[in-house]
Amino acid sequence: MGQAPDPVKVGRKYFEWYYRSADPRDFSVTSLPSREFAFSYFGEEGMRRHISFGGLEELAEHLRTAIPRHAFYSTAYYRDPGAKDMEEKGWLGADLVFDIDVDHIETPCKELHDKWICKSCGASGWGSVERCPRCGSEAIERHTWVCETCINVARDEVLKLVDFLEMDFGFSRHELLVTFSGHRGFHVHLESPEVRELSQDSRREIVDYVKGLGLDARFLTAKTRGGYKLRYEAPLGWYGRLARWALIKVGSEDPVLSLSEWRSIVEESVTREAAAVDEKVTIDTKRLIRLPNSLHGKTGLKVAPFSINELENTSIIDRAKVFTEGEVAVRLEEGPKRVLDVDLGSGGVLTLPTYAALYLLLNGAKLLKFEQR
Amino acid sequence: MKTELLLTTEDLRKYPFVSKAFERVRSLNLTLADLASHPLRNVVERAAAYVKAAVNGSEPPPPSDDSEEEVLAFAVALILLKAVGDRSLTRKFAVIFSKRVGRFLAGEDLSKLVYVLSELGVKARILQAKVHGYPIAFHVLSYLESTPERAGHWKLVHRLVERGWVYVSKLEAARLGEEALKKFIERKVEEIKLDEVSMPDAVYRLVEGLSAEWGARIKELRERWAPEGLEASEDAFPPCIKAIVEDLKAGKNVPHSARFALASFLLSIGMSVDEVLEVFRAAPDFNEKIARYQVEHIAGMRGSGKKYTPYKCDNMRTLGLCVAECGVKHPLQYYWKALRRQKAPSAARGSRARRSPAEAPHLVEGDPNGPSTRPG
Repeated sequence: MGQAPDPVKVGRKYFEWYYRSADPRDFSVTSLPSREFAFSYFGEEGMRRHISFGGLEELAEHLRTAIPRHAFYSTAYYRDPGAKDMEEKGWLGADLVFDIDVDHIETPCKELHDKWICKSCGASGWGSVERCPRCGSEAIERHTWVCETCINVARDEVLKLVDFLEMDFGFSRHELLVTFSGHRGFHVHLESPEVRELSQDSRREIVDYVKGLGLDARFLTAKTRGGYKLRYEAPLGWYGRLARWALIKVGSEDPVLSLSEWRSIVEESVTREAAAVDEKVTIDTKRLIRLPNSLHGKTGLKVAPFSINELENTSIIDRAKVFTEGEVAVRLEEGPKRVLDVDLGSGGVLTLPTYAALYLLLNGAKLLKFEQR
Repeated sequence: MKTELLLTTEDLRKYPFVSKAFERVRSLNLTLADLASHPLRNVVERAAAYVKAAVNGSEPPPPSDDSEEEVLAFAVALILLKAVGDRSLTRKFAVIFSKRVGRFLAGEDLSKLVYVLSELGVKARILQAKVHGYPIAFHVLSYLESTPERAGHWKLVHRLVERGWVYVSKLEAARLGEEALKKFIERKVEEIKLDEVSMPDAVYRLVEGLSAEWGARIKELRERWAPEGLEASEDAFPPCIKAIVEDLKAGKNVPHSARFALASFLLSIGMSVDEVLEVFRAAPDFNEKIARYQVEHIAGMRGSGKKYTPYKCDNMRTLGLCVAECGVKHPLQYYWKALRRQKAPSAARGSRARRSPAEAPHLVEGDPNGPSTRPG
C-alpha cells in the first residue's frame, strides 16, 4: 500500500521543472504590455487577476518563479491592463476568438471516462447525461476526462470552423492561431487589426454564421413552379453547403422541393457542417483565455499551438504532453477506463507514462500511490 | 485619386460629413462666438433646427441651398449635441439625419455611392460584372458592422458570401450606408472636446433650451412606456425569463448567462437587490454573499457604477436562452406591453396604435458577459 499523493505538491514540482526549462519565447503574445494576465496558483483558491507585464522577460520570470497552475491572458487590449476596474482599464479592442470544447459535443468515448452523480437521489453512472435517468433531476455533478477520441472530435470541429473562416470570411489560415486548450478542446485566435474593434453584435453574427443559427428555408429559397428552389445557384456561403446536401439527399444540387423538405436539408446540413463553437467566448470582448504554451492545471498538458496543416496531420496529444520521460507506478482506486492515449482497464496497480499519471492526479482521480520510476 | 473629384460643392450639401466638408469647416477657422454673431446666425439657427427635429422625432429641415452654410450647420449641430450631452438625443439625431442621407445615396451612381461609403470607413467595391444581379460587394466585416438588422434577408447566413465579401444591391448599399453614418455621427460627437467655459452666452442659452425640451420629451416617453404605479408582475414576464425562473425553481443548474439575463431583467423592472436575491435563493448552488455581490454589480452599485440592462432578443437567441417567437426585440418591451395590457386592458388597446416600438426609450445594451469575466 502506498500513500495518497498530494496533487498540489506533486503538481507544483512538475510544473516548476517545465517553466524553468521552457524557452521564454514560447510565451510571447502580441501586444503583450496591453494585455491583462490572470493566474491561479497551486494550493490557492480562486484566481488573481488584473496583472500586467512590461514585456516577455517579465512574464517568463513570473512563470519561472510563481509557477502558476493556470495561466490566462486577455483577448482584449487595454490602455491600462493592470487597472482593477474594467472602466479604468480603457478597452482598446479585442481579438476575435473561438472556443471549441467537447463538453458541448456528444462523443462515443464519454462512456469510457465520464461519470455523473445525481445530487438529488445519489444515482450515478458512466457517460454524460443531461438529467438523472432515475429521478429526472438536473442537479448533476460531473467528473469528466479526456481521451484521444474526444480531442479528435474537437479537432474536426476546428477544421469545420477554419473552412468558414477561409472560404466565407476570407481570412487566411496563416492569420489563425490555433491552440489546444490543454483539456477538452481548442481555441482559435484571430488577431488582425481589422477584427479588433468589431462590436459584440458583429461577433454574435459571426457565431450564428458558423453555427448555422437562424438559417431559415423561407429566406434561402424562392418559389418556382412546383415548389421551391435555392435562391442562388452558387457554390457560395450556406447556399453551397445546402446544394451539397441536396445532392446527397435527393441527388440534385438544384432541386425543386417543398419548404418542409428544404427544412430537413437545412437541418441535416447544419448538423454536419456547422462548427460547434461556444458562443459566449466569441461574443465576449473582455475574455480571459489560456496562455499559449502554458500548462493546464487539471491535466498537465501544454496549451500547444498548431498551424492548420499540423492540426490536420499531427497527433494532438503527442504535441501536448510534456512529461514524457519515465513512468509512474500508481494505485488507481476509482477512475476512468481510458484517458489521453492510455488504457487503464479497471484500475488497481498500474505503471503509467508520467504524463498520464500526472493527469490522473491533477484531475482528482482517487490514487493511493504515486511513485516516479 | 480620381474619386476625389467625385464630390461637387453641391454634394457637400447632401453629405456634409465627408472629410472634405470637415476640412472646409476647419479652414474657415471660426470660433463658436463667430458663429453666434450676425451674419453667421443662420448657421446656428439651422443647427438648432436639426437638433430640435431630433427632440421631436420629426423630419430634419431640407439642406440649405448654400453648401457652406449646410456644412457649418452640420458641424455646429454635432457641437450642440455634445453640449446637451445625452447620448440618446445624439442617437435620435443620427437616425433622422442618416435616413435622409440614405435617400440621397439611393439616387446616386455607384461610384459616388461607394465613395461616400468609403468616407464612412466602409469597405465596399463595385463589381466589374454583376454577381447574381448584385453590383456591389461589401467587405464582410463592414457589412456586419452596418447591417440594419440581423434577421431575415439581412442575416448573414442568408447572404451570398464569398471569401470575405458579401454581395449587395444598390438600395441595400444605401441602407447599409445609412447605418454606417449613424455610428459615424455618434462617434464624431463622442470625440468632440468641448470647452464649456468659452461658450458664448447665446449658444449656452440655446443648449439649455434644447436640454430642457429634450428632458420634457424623455419624461413624456418614459411615462408612456413604463407607467408608474404598475407593480411588477410575474405573469407579464416574457417566456424566456419565465423559463429561467422555472429552471431555478426546479433546482437546475442555470448557466451564468441566464443568471445575468434574469438579474438584469428583474432589476430593470424595478425590483430591489433583496427581491432579486429571493428569486435566486432557489438555485442549487445559492451563496448569498457571492450572489449579492454579483446582483449589486449588475445594479450598478459596485465597480464602475454602470447599471447593466438585460440582453436584447438577438443575444438571448444566440446564447440559447430564447424560447419563443414573441415578435419583440427586447424582453423588456414584451414585459411593459404585457403589463399594460394586464392592468388596463381597454386603455392599452386604445392607445397602442400611437406607440411605435421606435419610440421606446433607448436601452443601452448590457455587457453579455456580465460583471464577472470568466476565462474561456
